[in-house]
Amino acid sequence: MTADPEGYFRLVAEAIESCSLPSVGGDRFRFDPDLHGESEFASFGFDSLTTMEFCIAIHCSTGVELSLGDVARLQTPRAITEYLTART
Amino acid sequence: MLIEHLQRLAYRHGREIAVIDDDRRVTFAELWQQVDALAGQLGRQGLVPGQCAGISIKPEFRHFLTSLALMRLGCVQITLPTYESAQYRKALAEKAGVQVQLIDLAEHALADFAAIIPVYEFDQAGPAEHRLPSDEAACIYFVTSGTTGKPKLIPLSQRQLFQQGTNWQYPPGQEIFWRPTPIEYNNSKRQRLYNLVSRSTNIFLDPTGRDMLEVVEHHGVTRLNLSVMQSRHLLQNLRATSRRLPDFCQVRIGGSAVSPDLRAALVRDLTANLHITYATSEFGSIATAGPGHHFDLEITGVVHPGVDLRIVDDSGNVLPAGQVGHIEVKGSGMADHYRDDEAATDIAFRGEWFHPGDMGHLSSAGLLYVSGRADDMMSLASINIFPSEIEAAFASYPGLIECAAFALKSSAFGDIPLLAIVGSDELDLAAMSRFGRDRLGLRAPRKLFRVSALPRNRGGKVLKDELRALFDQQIK
Repeated sequence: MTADPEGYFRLVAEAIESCSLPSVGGDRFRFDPDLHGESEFASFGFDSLTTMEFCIAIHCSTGVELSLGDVARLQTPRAITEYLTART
Repeated sequence: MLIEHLQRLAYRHGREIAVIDDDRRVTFAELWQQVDALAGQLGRQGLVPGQCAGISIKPEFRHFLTSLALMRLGCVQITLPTYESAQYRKALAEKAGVQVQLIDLAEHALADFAAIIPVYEFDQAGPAEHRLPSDEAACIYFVTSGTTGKPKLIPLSQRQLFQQGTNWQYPPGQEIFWRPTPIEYNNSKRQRLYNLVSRSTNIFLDPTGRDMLEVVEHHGVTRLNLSVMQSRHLLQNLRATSRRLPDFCQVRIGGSAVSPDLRAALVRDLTANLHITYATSEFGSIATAGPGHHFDLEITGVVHPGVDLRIVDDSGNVLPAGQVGHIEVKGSGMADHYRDDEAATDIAFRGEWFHPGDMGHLSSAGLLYVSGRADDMMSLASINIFPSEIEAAFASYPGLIECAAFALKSSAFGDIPLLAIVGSDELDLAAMSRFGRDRLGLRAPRKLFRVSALPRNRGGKVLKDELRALFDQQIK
């Protein structure tokens, strides 16, 4: 696993894309690092179920547990990246 | 009986609020009128008593109305949840013998099934048949994966539903109920129907992005039913803002085990008005631990009046107080079989007793302590998942030699299913992952990872703890 901030940012981007697959609900979201890094998760169309899937994807790829409350508080992929970087 | 009860409520308590749909209020009289009109509409569209209808309707109140209208009409129903894959819903529909699907959006229609999109306009006449349907015929199939990992259908009649609702021991009258779990989940739907028995107000509200405490205060919620995961989130949120739930709001948690640590934290920082409920889809509520029982954080609860519960050994001999064994229950409202599944019926329903598949003991004071499942079920956000169903779904995947599903523990969500695989180098894990999603929906493993061989004990049993350690190494 890559522990640098950009490595974590890629993992966050992958997690966002993985949990917006059609089988989870909604079309596959194409994450653009330049456009979406500072965007709030709500703007991706995330509901509580997709947010849970995102938290699980992060847990599985980094070992760090996130809760729905963490995502609501941190709000953006960049902020999540900073949180993950600080945790490890 | 449930529909007759609703009709009676409409006449005797017609002005009381039955439903709060977002901020719209619906009285019992209006609810009955809407149920009757919708039943009439569905009847004119060709539904007849005894037919089986699958409901794939996500909006909460519309789902509830449709469910009641089907009961009014005398149809059998099953929820085909919109959050599940089409493949899973279709398999469920076939298993239940669904003849028509009721949907909210065309995209939820399944191939090979007739579909109706109900129109929620209530100036229409009710069903041509004014008599209410039989209390004894099955009116609903609830789905459970029980102890085998295969979906099993629990048929319940209106009488059984009504009696299960009575078993919850809620005093009748104007409790205001909110459960922030979608009605498409069986347990949530059951509770909504039980609330009719106790004349409570059902709140239908999308919890996404809402502050739960604000909802409780705004609507005066007196009963808040939460999953373990939801209780953790609420606890975290209230701690962060130094708030507590108002004392008038009773919190009920069920569906999966509440750890002693969580229970202590809930009583300390969330509410003293905490009730832990032990219940099953086949039986309804069995036992509850209320505010007077949290001195011992291991207590599952006091067995409800009218519920006969005993602890037996592997041979069915009744065990004395203090000894751990298999839990058996019987009582009114209990299901008595699974649809078209003799093997599962024989395991769970023996004579007049039902076997929930849990182990536990009774204290000398008659308090129930549940130790856990007799099998190795996983529970992710209140969804029961069995390793066997995951492994079976992948069993014939090209290039796969063998696999084993196990849980990654998450304090927020429960058990995250993972899959360790042994296979050829050509295996595309991303494609396999998509395959799992299509086949299993929310039960799919969230991460697949390669191992050179599955670690096994001498008896050939896969060592899940070693798999967890291997997975931990991979992500570190």
